[in-house]
Amino acid sequence: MNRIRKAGMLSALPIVVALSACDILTVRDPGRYDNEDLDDALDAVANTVEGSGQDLVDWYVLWQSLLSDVYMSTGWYTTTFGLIDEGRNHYGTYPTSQENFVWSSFKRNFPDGVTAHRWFARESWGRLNRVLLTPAEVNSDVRSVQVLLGDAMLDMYLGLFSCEGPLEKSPSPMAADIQIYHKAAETFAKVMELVPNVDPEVLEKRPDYMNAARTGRALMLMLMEDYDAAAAEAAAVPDGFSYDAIHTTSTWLQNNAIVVYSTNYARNAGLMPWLWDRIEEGYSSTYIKDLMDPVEVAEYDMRMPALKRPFSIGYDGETPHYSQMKYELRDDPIPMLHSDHARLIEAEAKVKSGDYAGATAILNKLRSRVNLRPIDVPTNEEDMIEFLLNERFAELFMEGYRAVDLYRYDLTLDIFEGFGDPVRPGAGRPSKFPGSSREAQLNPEIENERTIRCEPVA
Amino acid sequence: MSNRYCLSGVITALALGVFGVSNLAAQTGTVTGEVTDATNGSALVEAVVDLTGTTKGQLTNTEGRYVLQGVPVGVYTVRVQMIGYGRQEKQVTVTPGSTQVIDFKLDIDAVGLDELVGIGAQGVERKKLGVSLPSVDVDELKKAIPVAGITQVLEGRVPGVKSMGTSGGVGSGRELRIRGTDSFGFTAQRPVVYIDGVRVDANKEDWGWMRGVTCCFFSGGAGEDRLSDLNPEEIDRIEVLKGPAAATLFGAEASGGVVQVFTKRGRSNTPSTFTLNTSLGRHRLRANLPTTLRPNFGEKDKDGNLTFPAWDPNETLIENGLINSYDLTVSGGGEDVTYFVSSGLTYEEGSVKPNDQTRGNIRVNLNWTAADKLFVGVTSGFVRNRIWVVQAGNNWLGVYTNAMLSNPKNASEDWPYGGGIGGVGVASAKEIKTFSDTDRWTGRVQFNYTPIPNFTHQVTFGLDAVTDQKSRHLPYGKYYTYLGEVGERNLGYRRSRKFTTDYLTTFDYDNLFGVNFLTGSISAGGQGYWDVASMSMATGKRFAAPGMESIEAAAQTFGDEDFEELINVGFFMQNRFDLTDDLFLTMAVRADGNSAFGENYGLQTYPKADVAYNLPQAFLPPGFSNLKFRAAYGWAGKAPGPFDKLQSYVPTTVLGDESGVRISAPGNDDLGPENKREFETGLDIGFFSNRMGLELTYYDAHVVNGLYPSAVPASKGVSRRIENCCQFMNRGIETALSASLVDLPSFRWNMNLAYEWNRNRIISFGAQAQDDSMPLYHEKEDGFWEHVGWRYAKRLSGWWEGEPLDNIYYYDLYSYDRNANRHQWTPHPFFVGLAQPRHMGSIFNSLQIGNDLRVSFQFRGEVGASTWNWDRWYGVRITQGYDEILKHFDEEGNSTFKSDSVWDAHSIREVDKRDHIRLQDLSIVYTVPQAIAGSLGLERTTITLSGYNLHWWDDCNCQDPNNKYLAEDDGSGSTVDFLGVPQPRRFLLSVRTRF
Repeated sequence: MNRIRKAGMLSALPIVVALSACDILTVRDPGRYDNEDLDDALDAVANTVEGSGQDLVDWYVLWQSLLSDVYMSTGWYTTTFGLIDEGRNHYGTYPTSQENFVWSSFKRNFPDGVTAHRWFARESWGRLNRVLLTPAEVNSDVRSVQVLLGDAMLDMYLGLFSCEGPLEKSPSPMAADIQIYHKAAETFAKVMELVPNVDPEVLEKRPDYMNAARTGRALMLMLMEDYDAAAAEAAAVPDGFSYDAIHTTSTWLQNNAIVVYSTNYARNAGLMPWLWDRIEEGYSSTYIKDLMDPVEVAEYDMRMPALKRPFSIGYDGETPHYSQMKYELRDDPIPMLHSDHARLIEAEAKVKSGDYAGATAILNKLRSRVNLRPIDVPTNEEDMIEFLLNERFAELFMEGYRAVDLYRYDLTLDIFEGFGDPVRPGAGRPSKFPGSSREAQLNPEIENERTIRCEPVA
Repeated sequence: MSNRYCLSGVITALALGVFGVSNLAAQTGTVTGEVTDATNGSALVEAVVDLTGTTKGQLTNTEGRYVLQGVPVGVYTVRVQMIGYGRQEKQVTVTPGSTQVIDFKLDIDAVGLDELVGIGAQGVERKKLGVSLPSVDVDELKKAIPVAGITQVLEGRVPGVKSMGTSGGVGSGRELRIRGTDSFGFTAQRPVVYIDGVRVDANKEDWGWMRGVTCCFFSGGAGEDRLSDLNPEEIDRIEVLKGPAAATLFGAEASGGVVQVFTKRGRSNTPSTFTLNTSLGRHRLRANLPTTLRPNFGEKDKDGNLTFPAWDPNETLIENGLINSYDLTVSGGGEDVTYFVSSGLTYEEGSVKPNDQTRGNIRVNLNWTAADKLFVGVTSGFVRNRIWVVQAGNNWLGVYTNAMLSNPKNASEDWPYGGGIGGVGVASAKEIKTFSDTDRWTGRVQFNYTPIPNFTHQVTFGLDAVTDQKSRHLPYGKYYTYLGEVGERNLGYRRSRKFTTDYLTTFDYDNLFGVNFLTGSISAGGQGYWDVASMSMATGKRFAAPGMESIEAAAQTFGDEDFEELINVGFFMQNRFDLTDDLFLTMAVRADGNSAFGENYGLQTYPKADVAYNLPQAFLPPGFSNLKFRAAYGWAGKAPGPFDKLQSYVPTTVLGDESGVRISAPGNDDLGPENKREFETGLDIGFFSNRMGLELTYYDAHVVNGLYPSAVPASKGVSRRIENCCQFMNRGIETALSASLVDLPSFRWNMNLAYEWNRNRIISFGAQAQDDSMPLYHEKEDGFWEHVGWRYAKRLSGWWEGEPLDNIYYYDLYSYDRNANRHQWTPHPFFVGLAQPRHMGSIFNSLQIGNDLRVSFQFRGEVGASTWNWDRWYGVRITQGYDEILKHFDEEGNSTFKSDSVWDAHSIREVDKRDHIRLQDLSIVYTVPQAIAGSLGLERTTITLSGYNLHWWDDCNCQDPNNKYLAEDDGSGSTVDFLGVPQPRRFLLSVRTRF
């Protein structure tokens, strides 16, 4: 066929020349931007990169909450909720397995969503370097900060979510989560280098990029188990800082999926039963009782707003529905990185170094802000870690870190065995999400053999 | 408005008629005679008589007579043609003032090898063609049955052509398919349609989703049928080029086949002939809905007595829909100008209301012999087509939807059918006003220049301009799912312009250089096609008060725009060698450039060759009167979507409400057309002096570079990229038998049989394929599926190499019980059926009883297709309003053990077989005796009583097995029967006369 086509092309050469000359076969879609258009849209490009990670955080929180002991599925609206809740989200053979069918869209299919957005971030970094005239311009432009920060955040979430993922665009091999953390930490460091070059007047109108990068880097270092460096970075983060995912106010978008799927809009997920007797039934917002208290003390922890409405049941029509209330409206922001997280990193570093008193002091300071009684300094490592993880549960409630903690401290089996729920057995339960099956199938640098792929289970 | 069209048509026709007949010349003579059936001596009415090499021609009258007046002095060949009879020619010498009588006795010819058909812009005798090229004479067909539309013409009459309903209702879209499935994109398989050489917008009209709309913009997926814009009264004949072997010269758009529609034209020196056709009738669906037990349930008083029986949709939803149409045409011509003018007005109401269509057509076709060597033809057709679209399909707002999916146990005076799905009652659904209002002009100017007799040039400039306005109004105060009671208004505006420019030159040569076999015809030319369409849409939501119907009055507004542009330029050259009187060889090549091709692709070349050999009479076996062998091989293509090659980004909202951009398509500089290579061979056989004709065709098509939105690793930023990846096989057999079984003066019986078999298979997915194991299942007698093993195969998404392309892929099989517990019946995805039938057949009989009565009927049958039957699944399990479960409730309306078991029964599978036989057409035509008609000044006058889509016999749990073959247009092989209104069922009384 090629020969015939070539012969035809040669014989029609004069026609080709004529057509090219008058360019009559050129069309343009006026409703779309092309690659060159984006060179004139650097603000939008930078905003997109910064916002793309924020756009995914709601699904990150939902999936991580279902994977851990925070959320359970309470509906059949989409079977993904049930699959994750019941620990059946193992590797599938894309796309025939049920898991992958329901993980169809990029936003819900979190690892694919992250890597797709990261491609745009890297493209945008190249675009900035091409369009802005000099390296000095690149290094002092706030849009460079936005793009690099967005890139780092995407890597951060990929590592937090999956046990492996591609470090670069396809073709590229899978990298372990720890390698992804390394990459994210480097990029956060680059952001910290660039921020001082940017015009302060411009930065005044923006989120606190420096402390976002600093907190992100501290988190990455902690997960890389470089606790001293993590604590050093975290210590530089001032109290009161927060970098949040902002959702659109446009009513036709789904916005914050946590609100859409786990509050009164659609009750497909709700808090797990072990939390139920810590929540007061009522019509307006209440709180989960302090995890460090026996229930009868009845001190409510304002970091964990929750609600059981009378007669409220899940979308499945039978499961009592206990709703988180940290996010009530569709455009409620989700904290991504904040100073309290930095304090927790500092505390954890002290735990690791054996400074339980120092760690307890930090944790009790956080508790005192919500009027909870201080906790005595634990006398052994087990109690200290329980204290730390409980405070992380409360402080980072519905921010998607509980599954990370259970994985890091290898607690998934114990906790789910403790529930004694046959639907959610501990043995064999995934403690972290696998990498994307889709990427493994389609990326030629990845050997799609599940036996050599990471799949951490309890 | 439409009356104005009629009036203007009549005035134009009269004016042209006067002009036409006032130009007769002197120094002439007359040729007259009679045309009869050679076998039984009966007069042949409306046979075409013309003088070859001139524009003079006429149809015979009710006595079979013709009179050609004003024939200039000279020697001529008188030619007579009539469908079903062999062509005859006789010499005549015309002297001044003389009257020459030339009678003809025509022999029956069911083979038609002398018939002239068109390939591209050229006419060629059928015996010289190496391909099957069926032609339907619409005028002839109308003598037997009333023709409501172009799709009805093709249904069951041309083997290999399918006209499929999506959702029924008047004006709803239909899909034409030729020779089965051989592409991922179902849109890629739509044939292209030309009217008088002008490419036209002929697809089911697809409107995308738009921002802010509540549900199912505009009507739930049925779309409107742009083919229904055509008035059959304007059509002379339709020719079908089924595949690349025949349609190579149409290039990069023709792999799905080409349908050529030719409109009528007048004849020179012929007085004005008027044709009036008027019809009155009704649409009425079959009352076969599975809801007859509903009146046993409903509202009860405290003693349990039924106080309000639920309504049965069979009795209350199905109504009579009025049909009323008027068509007036006039044709004729003078010495240099001929004309055909038609005007028509049609009003039809659907059987499920609200749904109606009002269509006004007007056409003026003029032909002018401007000079000895220059001939100019102008066609101009205008239509206004206004459809009150039925809300149907997978649509919470559908009238039919809410009537069928309601629970009669909840019925009350306010909710007579019971609570509709999604809480929308039928009354609210009927309040929705949905309109599609189309203005369309299609026309062309064609110049024919013949500097020397065997050398012609033809230039055509054509335009098809469609302007379509859509609107939908959901009134304030009525509840609608996802909207509430605040009301909504949707508007849509679509402007489509298709420009065609065509140049063709033909040189006929005979004994070139004195060499005997150098006889034939060479042609060359070019074709340009520019398709540009824009669409804008707006939605307004939340009215503050009732009565508001403007977006301006809505609190929330949304808008959207869409645009498409496609340019194709093609050049071709063809040579036909008439090697002997019996052997013909044609070779051709076409090269196309297309705006949808990638930057690196260049031109696409399509070659073809065909050969036809007519066995000399001396060698024919006994009983054979003709035997033609034919074989052809050709390529054609289908261009990608207009902007598939472009990398593009779309706006998005980020960081709250900041502007952002996200990639929507990665683009592909190497993108080329999907190409189909087809080999076709067959026999055209005449038996018993051509009283029986048999056409056998085998085709074997191989699609290469199949277009597919291939999966891309997400780390490259997108999920899909349109690529040329795949290869498919598509082969089949087509047979058509025509026979004049009885030909007596008082009784004639003609029969047509058609059968086709088609099979397709995926050959390769190329680099996209994934190694996998395909689960194999066997359906047991009890309806359960048994997993019987695995087969290694390569897979792409839901398709497997080696399997049919239109397999229905069942990713799992499950049911829910009354407590919403899910029961998994199969652990693996597997195939359960085919979307398209493998066997299709039809039988058409026409019985002429005496001179005045003709009875015709057509049966069609299909075997091998299945569909997702969501209707039944919902009606039984979800809303419990179907007889199948209602019969198991006790007298108090309480569920019984049996009803529970039905509710959870595996037997209520979602996939259903579609095998059926259908009585598609039945008509009785009475010809008014000429003594009576003549006394009124009329010529041939007929009264016809007819029915369309009257009855069918099937084995599926569905209302109409021909419904919703394709709900999706993505080529996924999923074929869904979900709440489409059944296909129209029509009863008509028609009167047709000439004067």
